[in-house]
Amino acid sequence: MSTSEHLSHERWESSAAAYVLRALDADELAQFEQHLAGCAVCREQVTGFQVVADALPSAAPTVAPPPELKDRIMATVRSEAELLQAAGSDADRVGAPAKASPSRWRGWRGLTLRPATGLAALALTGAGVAIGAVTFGQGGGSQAVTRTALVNAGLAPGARASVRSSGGVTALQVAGLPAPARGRIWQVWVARPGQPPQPNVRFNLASGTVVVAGDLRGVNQLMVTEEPSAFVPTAPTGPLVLRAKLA
Amino acid sequence: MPRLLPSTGSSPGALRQLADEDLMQLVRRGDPDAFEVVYERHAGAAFSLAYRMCGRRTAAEDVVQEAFLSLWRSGTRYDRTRGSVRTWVLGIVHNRAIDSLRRGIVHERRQVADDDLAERLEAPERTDVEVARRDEAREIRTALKGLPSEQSQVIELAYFGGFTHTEIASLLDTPVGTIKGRMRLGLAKMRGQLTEAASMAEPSGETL
Repeated sequence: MSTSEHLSHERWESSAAAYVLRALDADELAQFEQHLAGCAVCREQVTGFQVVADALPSAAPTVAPPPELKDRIMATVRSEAELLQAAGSDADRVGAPAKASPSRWRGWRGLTLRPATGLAALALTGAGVAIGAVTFGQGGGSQAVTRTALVNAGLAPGARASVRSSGGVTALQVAGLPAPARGRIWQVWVARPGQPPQPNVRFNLASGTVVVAGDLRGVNQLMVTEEPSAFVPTAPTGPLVLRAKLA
Repeated sequence: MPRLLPSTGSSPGALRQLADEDLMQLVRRGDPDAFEVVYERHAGAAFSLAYRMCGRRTAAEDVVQEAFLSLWRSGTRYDRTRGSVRTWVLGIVHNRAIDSLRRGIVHERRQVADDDLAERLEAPERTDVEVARRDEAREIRTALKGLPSEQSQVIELAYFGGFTHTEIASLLDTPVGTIKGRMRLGLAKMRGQLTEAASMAEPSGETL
């Protein structure tokens, strides 16, 4: 270890333990991670302490989760699985490759969703979720592209949505959405292939146009979930309301 | 030899025979039944951790819900070479609970103390794996309790309380360097004890 590395290391000598306990302040965390990349001694300490940190949850007294929690989570999971499956089978029907690729199932982000042109409604079995899809006509200038969104009719019965891109502006058009639950809001997410969805604008319009913010290059999906209005979660947590493929 | 995975729609009984890592492959493909088995296996530990950190049932439920839905939606991020599914799940729960605590969503910062004992419900021991986990839990609790109180206190405040070391320094009116030093000494001691306990245990081919 050189003198400068040694000095740098001295500053961080006691930080490995705080790091695995997630006790470093945000700015310090970023600096320590930078140091970690070049310091084998700290990396070794972190690895050793991480074993203890990974075992610490066992020290918590055992408390059984309420059965309703599982019911709630599984209801969301099953409705999303149905939505994914419906989108997949629809993709086959409207001209996707004749043989569905096994890689179609790539979870939340990797779905191959195709515009549901002409699709009025799909009634699904199981969780009793129905998906309504309405095609909005091509409109505006010659560059305008309008894509239908699949709407979770279990959550938003009768609602319609589409995404319209024109002149570099992308807007979500919704009609007939119910009011989100108390303390909740509709959160727009945009996703690029292989990357987690990023939060975008949030709204509580029932009908109208919501302009999607920022640079949307590479974005291939837009989703809306119901989320807490008090803060923006880092990943979708609430039920999926609608989804549209953008590319 | 690669294990053959049942296709989506396998019976719950068949899915329960699968290892977590194999279930995660099915979760990645959007199989809700595989996800349900993963939930059943780890929800107890996840909820216990969340409840210990948040101190309130509703907040703990929110954290666990957020964590498991994130797992469902980002299964591709699970990397089996970096640890077990359980460690990964609990890591997500820990991160989510800390985020909640730091965002101030959990307003009544955990008084999980003994007045909540009546709420504790021991999950029934069903399998050898559960028994082994109980042993592991006993070891870690013993190791934590065996530390000098000033060391266990800072570890608990950081890990379960979600406090940063500067917050802990302020709470305890103690220099930051001292707090970090106590964390380091405490974890090093626990590591030694856990290593010792592991070396005394019967060697086993199974992993938890």
